[in-house]
Amino acid sequence: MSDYSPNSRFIIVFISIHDVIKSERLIKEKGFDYQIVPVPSNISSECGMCIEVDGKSIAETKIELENINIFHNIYPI
Amino acid sequence: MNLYFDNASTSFPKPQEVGEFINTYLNQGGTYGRAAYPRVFEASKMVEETRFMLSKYIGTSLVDNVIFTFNSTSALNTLIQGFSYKYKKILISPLEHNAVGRPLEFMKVSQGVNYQTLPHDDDGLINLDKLKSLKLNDIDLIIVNHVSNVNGLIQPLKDIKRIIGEIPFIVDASQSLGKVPVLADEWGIDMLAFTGHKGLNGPTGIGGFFIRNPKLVEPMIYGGTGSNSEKLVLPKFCPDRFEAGTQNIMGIYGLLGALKNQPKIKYTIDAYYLLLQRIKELSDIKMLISNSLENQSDVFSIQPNNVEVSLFTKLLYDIHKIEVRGGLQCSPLTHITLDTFPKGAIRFSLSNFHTDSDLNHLLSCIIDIHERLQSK
Repeated sequence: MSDYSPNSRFIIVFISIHDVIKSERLIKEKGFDYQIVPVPSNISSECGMCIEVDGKSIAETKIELENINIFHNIYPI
Repeated sequence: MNLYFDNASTSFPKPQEVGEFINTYLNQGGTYGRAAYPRVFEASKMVEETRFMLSKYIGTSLVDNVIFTFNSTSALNTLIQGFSYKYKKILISPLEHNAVGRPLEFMKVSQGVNYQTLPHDDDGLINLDKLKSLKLNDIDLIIVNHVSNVNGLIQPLKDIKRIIGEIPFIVDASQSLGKVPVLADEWGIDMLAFTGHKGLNGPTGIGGFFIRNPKLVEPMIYGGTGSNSEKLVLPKFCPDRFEAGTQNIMGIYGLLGALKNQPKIKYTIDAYYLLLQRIKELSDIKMLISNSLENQSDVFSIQPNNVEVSLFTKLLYDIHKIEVRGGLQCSPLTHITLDTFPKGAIRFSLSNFHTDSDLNHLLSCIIDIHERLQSK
């Protein structure tokens, strides 16, 4: 978890919109700072949405997502 | 007075929130995925909320595996035609709708798939003792209509699944979802098709299915999903695997309005049973109901002797403005089972908005038309 600098921001990319919506609800309930953003084209040619989270929340977010078996990838931005 | 008794065709009235939610969507716009601006996110969230609420009605924790289609027929066609058959042998209930019968007949002619009827009693109830003694080792698939759209009989899904074991089990819940409890996970239902505009009181044009193991079925529709777009093959995960193309988001909004505002049942079960009993006492009328009231839903039919079904139906409307459906109700297989083919029957189907007074009025109208025709 030390890879996640608290001063950086990260994006979490999911395989489906279903998982984006499910994860957004979870992140919102946790009170984390986040926003819905387009998937950056250097990561995927996908035209959908992903979730941007700050470095202070990313480690806990990752644990929460793993707890409910949501497949995702995290990228620093 | 609520004179509409054709809720098995489509429910009416709808909760007023159905229209309100549809109007919200029309003013707000947005599609499912494909972008990240707030209008899209909001629409996507509503779609997923609807999917979640439907999973509760279906009784499954596998929310991703609840798929939207246009109606039950498109859902059943996907499940039946997309299934991978090994032995080409299917067993079906004796009370199937053409949404099952016609795809099966098409596959019989085009692919040599054979289908036969499960053992049953004279009201169409699947006979569990006889089912236990059947050899099922070369059966690919078993399909059962949960609630008949003709006599309203409720099939014992839990008991059937217990007997058939691992054989994939498709349930047609077109008439049951929203009216009769469904517990897909607890009962071990593998696949279930439903529509939004009957028992769930939503708008037409939105339905769907639940599939426990998506690998069992190949998708019927191929196209854009907003996911894995760099590849020319559909994603393997649900719901995207079965939801190519823009879904009926306006219909989904309307359905969500209905799911959040389901009407509580206004008539009493005693008044309903009394209605059935009184009609049963009329001479020269064949009553199409289950043999036991325990298995009876809010749908039933009658077949008058020596009188055309269409004439009885027409007089009910012309004289009393009662709206019902006469004929075969798209269920020739059911009418063959119930020995009412090809004449058909007059079907009455209630909604939760009906009151005891509505049921009493319906009885008086049926008696009146019956007496008029008897005296001719």
